[in-house]
Amino acid sequence: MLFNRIDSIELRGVTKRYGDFVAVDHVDLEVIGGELLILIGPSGSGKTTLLRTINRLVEPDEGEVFINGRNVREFDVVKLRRSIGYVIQQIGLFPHMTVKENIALLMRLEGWDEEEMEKRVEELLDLVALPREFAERYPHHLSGGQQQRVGLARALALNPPLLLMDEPFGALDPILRRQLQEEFARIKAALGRTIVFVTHDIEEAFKLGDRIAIMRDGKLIQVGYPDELVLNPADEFVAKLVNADKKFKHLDTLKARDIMIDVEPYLVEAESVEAVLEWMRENDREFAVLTKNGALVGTVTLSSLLKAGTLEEAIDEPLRLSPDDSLASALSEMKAKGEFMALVVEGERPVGVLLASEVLLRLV
Amino acid sequence: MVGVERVLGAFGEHLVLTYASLFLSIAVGIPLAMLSLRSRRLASLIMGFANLVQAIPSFAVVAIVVPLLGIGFTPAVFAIFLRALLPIVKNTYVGLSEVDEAMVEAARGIGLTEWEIIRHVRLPHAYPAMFAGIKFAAVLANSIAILTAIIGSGGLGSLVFEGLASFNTDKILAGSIPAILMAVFIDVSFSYLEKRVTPEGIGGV
Ligand SMILES: Nc1ncnc2c1ncn2[C@@H]1O[C@H](COP(=O)(O)OP(=O)(O)OP(=O)(O)O)[C@@H](O)[C@H]1O
Ligand SMILES: [Mg+2]
Repeated sequence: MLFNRIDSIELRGVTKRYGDFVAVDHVDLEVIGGELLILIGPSGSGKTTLLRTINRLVEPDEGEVFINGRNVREFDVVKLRRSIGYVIQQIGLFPHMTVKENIALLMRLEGWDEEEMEKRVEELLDLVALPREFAERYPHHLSGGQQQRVGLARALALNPPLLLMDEPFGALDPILRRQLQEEFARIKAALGRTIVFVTHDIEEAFKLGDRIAIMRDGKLIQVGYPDELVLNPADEFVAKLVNADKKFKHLDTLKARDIMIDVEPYLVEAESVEAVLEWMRENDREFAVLTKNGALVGTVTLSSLLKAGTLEEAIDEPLRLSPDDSLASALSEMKAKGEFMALVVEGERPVGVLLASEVLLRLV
Repeated sequence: MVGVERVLGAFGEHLVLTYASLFLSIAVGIPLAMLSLRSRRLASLIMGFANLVQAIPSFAVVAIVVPLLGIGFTPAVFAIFLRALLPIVKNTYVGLSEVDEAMVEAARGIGLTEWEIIRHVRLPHAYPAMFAGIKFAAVLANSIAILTAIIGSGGLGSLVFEGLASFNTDKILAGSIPAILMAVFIDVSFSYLEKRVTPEGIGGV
């Protein structure tokens, strides 16, 4: 490790051009040691490019990047990257290596002995809530969410004080994304490191970010704490992005049915743990709503199924809402109960899933 | 009739000749392919040379070696080596360079050196192409090892040429049938090796 902790990361006037096109345009940004900083903005706004100047996958044409006051160009590039965990959305994992080999690759290259590696891999699997027997599996036998967990475990292998995450949950279905965000929020505190996190999703930004940096057309538009962005948006663009104007005004009249997502893709009629697991594998889901003759029985997650002996043990009783419940009261209730999700039912029949909106939660 | 001992002796020589030159081409070809990844210019130089050698008829390659190295076993090995090199270099290079760039970027991003990327990411993905090249090279080596009898390499080729010169069908068959068996053996053995080393999840295995 080049550094044991991060005091600050400073980007000064960072500019990257591709031909005449300016992908990143004179960005000044400070990441405070220990925080999770979100980079958010539309597609093509330069988030990935900016992120990659930190681990030198992109060398800026102008400007400098400093970590703990030292220019990153002073460091050996391989040592620098091994001191920085890197998680990406697309095929981050090596398909020809097992989960264990993927996670242990850097440890092996760093010359750890077999026993140490074994121990660390198990530690990391526990941390990201994957069963230990997954160690011997190949990535293509895992669901999208499980692969993403392995990617995180691999990034944490050498215990780097800094993590760069580029839309790690971007390719997942909305409920799975929320599940992983919840898990990540939980382990984030335990990780205790500095994280720069790229996302498209303002909900994700509000859920996970300490501060949020907003980019557009290669420029940094505004950096601040979530409340600042909602209450004092720098311009129309920021206001639209945090969506505060629209949702804020209508919060009183909005109902659960207006922002719930369709439950159909998550409905299963099954009687056994095996049958539900099979369904999850086929549909690449980690969450299911169980019904019997159309009536709600409860919800299950992949991890609860893997732990439980019988289906009954795995079933959770979700918070139930009716489609006409006002959004404000629904969100307050979810907040009070600490639930990030509720089921919207008509009588006994599930019709939707309501995910707690982080943006709105700050307003109710 | 041809004595069994004569055939076995010739077969042994043929085996040593074929495999010695083949392993030499592998030992030189794979590093050359890896080196070619380093720069475009080096790649086109190496591929250019290998293509040139490939364009020369086998018989001419065997002949050309004589004024340079004389006759006997070593010049024969060299001639076969030259001919077997291209399919190995070319296929290995194509296999190594056609690995998904995003995966290579990911490897670079987590801190692998360029050499470690070749060793742990590119090479395993290049196995199918590489083995196809090696098998092709082995078949070439096997057939040129017959030709090199002309320059005194010994082996099955001497039986074949003696048979041809004296219209002795037995001798021709005693030389060519083991060579055919050998071709089959080469294919089977390298296919087996390929299965053993190729990890799951690559090339539709
Ligand atoms: N290597 C490259 N060559 C040419 N143009 C590039 C290159 N990398 C990025 N760009 C361009 O720079 C701009 C910013 O790209 P970047 O990937 O940083 O955007 P982004 O904000 O991460 O977008 P997304 O949300 O879609 O991932 C894009 O218009 C992209 O086409
Ligand atoms: Mg991007």
